[in-house]
Amino acid sequence: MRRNRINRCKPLLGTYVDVSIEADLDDEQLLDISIDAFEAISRVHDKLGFHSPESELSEVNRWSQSGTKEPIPISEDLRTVMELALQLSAASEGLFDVTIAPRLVQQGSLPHLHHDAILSGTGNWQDVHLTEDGLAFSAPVLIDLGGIAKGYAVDQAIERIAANKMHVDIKLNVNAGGDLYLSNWQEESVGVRYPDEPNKHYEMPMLAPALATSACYFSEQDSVMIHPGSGEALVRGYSVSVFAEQCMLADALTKLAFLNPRDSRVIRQFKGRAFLLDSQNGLLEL
Amino acid sequence: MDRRSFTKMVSLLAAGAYLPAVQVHAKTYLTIDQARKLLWGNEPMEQVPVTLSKDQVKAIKKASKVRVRNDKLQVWKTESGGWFIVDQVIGKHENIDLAFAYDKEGKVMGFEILTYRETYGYEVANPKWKAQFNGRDHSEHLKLDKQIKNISGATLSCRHITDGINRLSHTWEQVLRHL
Repeated sequence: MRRNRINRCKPLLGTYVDVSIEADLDDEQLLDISIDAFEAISRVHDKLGFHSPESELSEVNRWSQSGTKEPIPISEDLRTVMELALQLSAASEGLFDVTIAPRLVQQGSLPHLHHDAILSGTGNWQDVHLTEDGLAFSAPVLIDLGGIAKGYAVDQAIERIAANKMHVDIKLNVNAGGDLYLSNWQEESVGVRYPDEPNKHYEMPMLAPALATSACYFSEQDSVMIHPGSGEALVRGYSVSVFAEQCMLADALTKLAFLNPRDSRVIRQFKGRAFLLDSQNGLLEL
Repeated sequence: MDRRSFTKMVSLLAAGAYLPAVQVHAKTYLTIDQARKLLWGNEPMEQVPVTLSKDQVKAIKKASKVRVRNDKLQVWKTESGGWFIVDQVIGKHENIDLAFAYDKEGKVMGFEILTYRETYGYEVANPKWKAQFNGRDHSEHLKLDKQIKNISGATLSCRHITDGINRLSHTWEQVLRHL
């Protein structure tokens, strides 16, 4: 069997998800692997999406908004993502915070799904408690995982393929709107988009299997980069890129790097490498 | 802070070198045949030549609120009365070829992206944006998408695909169901 390759792309997670698989397998086998990958991504999309009232996340948000103090049982997917989210919130003293959704709803970047939801005076990450029984809330919050779940979905696709691949050597690239995982990253380079000129790239070597980039690219909309302290929607001319072992981590760490590029301690603590790119200064490691 | 600078200055093309509406980042995914297999398996199908009349174009546009750019349809009718449709959606920054499967009730069963092209050019119209590149020279780090396989940093919305599905659903309603 000769080396064969398949590329597929689907709109999921609010972006285009691109899966490329290369192995000594025939078309049909490669397509089957891609179906597995997209299934894993769709599962995360369905569970952790803010936009669908039927998602598990929406159920959790309604629970929190109802003022119930009991914990709500949650899936392994939501547990994994919330665990990292809260760790990052604690490490960054709240600079990473998945509870800034009310602000995003107010500015129209997220839909107003829960019509009786409280949008002002809601709690923050410190009011979210991950326990053995699930998530409990000491104040009503609205959670949006837009800054972390896309990366997690990519990790899940990779994990799913790794679990099924048996002894076949598979080269795998997954790109969810800039959240990138490359199995053979040592031999790959990547083009990081210039934030003010998205058709141009800074080419650099991959430094880890996962890379995520955040910026305000398509500026006709309000920035979704909300500073949890001030509530301000930050518009910046730079992009930040973070290399890490996992996409979820890379994805989340870009938010910290974007909001405060002057302090890379938390990024280093989580073994990420962060770069800032802009037209004025080029590429800088943080 | 430990700052390591990869490259101090990344310079850009001189302002005069810009061309409007540069097209970049084209990527090919499935062939029509691969998409057909994924969506319809081995179900036999036959291509049906369809050209929309002016009235049909108007009716589809009115019902779907989406512009109909092409009156010639690339459609195959399957043995079970469903449809395999190859079509294109065009957004502000993207241009996508897709293959769709519609069942015999006109419900979309699935779709696959065949090619994806991003287009830009809107920035060029903005004088402030242009001014910042004045006087800089070319750099080898500056590359167009064509040469680059892996790209990090893009978030385009997918709503044009939703528009496309809407338009084709009304195309089925107006035209294909009667064939």
